[in-house]
Amino acid sequence: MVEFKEVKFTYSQEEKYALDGICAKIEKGEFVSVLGRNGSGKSTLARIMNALLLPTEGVCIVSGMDTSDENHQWDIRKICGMVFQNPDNQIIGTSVEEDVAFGLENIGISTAEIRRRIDDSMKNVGIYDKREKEPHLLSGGQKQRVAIAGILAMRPECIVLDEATAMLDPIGRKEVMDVVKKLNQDFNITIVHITHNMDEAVMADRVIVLDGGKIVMSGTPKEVFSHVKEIKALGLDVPQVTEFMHELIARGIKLPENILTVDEAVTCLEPFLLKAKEDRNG
Amino acid sequence: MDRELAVCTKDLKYIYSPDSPFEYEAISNMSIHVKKGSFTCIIGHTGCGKSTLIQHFNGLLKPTEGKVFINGEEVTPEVVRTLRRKVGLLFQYPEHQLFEETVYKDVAFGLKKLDLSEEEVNKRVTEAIAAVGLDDDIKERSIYELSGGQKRRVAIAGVLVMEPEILVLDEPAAGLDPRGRDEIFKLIKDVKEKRNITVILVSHSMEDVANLADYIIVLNKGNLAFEGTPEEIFSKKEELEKIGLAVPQITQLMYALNSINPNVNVNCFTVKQAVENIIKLLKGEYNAE
Repeated sequence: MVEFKEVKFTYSQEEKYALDGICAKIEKGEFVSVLGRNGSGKSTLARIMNALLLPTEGVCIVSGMDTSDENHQWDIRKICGMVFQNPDNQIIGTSVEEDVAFGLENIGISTAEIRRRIDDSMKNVGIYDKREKEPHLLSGGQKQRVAIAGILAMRPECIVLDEATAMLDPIGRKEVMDVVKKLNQDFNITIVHITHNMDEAVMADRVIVLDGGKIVMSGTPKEVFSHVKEIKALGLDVPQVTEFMHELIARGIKLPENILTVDEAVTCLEPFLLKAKEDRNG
Repeated sequence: MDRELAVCTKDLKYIYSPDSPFEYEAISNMSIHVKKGSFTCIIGHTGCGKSTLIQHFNGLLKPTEGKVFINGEEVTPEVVRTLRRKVGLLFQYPEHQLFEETVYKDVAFGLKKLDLSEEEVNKRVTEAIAAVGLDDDIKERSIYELSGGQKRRVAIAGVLVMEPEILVLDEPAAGLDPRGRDEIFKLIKDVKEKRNITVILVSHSMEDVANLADYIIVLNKGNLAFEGTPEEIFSKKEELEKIGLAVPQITQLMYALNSINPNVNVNCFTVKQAVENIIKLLKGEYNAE
């Protein structure tokens, strides 16, 4: 789906590289989370993927097309849609459905087809009942879903979310993540989710960690988050449950290192707790 | 009113654009209490009235009905100007509000109207910049040369320079990476200790609230849902979930473990507390081994 070949990027000649030799492949239908500190190159990477920025060195291939090829840039942006951090900066329509239709109106699609596509998109992200509302009256989570519906109407193969949940409350985050998971599972849309929230990163098939413009870790959430010390040294975090289990191991309790969710932790700890209960009662 | 309270509202109601088609009741009826010297966190979903509420604390908004008291004194139009020196308010993404040419000028901006000597201004700016953990030589730099995290610190310095008795922060860690978040919170805790002030912090993160607060105010749809200590608030797991909030992940785990072994203490809100509790519980077994 997306391939980075030795991608380097610098914003100006004197500055150091924002991306410094990125080599990575993202497969069709994959759900990838990208983690990294502020300034590690995450947003630059996202912008390279839909040709908003072009590599200074190396190439980025999206669906077989080189992003540097001007003839393909509009196609690439149709295939690879992007949701940004601030919901208020990306909504332009005066009603929800107008906003969702905006992209389609600019690529010469018939009115009937537009109607069909935007209705489908709005239903798929759960905002169909809000279609006649003014976007500014919606909550943050609803606004981000409007943005996703606008992308969905373009029939994309890939959606890049650049900290799209950062400004939302827990309900808004959940709404957006539920929609993202559904689009990934039901429509096989490739997801690249940039986030600081470790509990969201855990939902992905694969986690990529950036530091200083380089990929420093890549693997399943279980692989990446089992390196609690390394993750913390990079200025990042692990889910609370993972940290908790890691501490118990450090205190001599024999438990697996790669626990990410409450349910997994409960399963691992159950025998210990039952035994402690018996010991006390016995 | 009680002089032990830094902030107190009594039957506060606020309606945006009253008597117009856009009329909107953001706060219905709210009586909250923030003790002097406390670290109070305000939580609630988007649209619960958090931002509207805190804008009453320094008189940016005037109640439609009800009263607001700061240090026991009622907020009236006459006291608003002096109030702004007592209550420092930091909005979300405050770095967007920096506008001066240099860091020094931006941090010093609020002092302009205070009629201070140049020496005093210099002293306060230097202290504020040090308090937010920035190097002194940043003073003469343009704000456009700074990173996002540095800008956020400059914005906080611009509030600290006023030497407020009450510091109100709306999601000061939003958009920061985990280390950036930890650093900002540490800085706020240090300032609170050193200056012996009251801190009121708005947050969406239960984990952060559990690590910081000694008092929690929970809002729901323009009303006060609960207020109390972390123990009191986080013991209401089901009630919190009903209004779209949740206890910290670690507390959720402790509830699940408690259903297996009732000796697991559900009153654990931080990873550290939870680890100590479980170790204590399992110790018997390990001594036996």
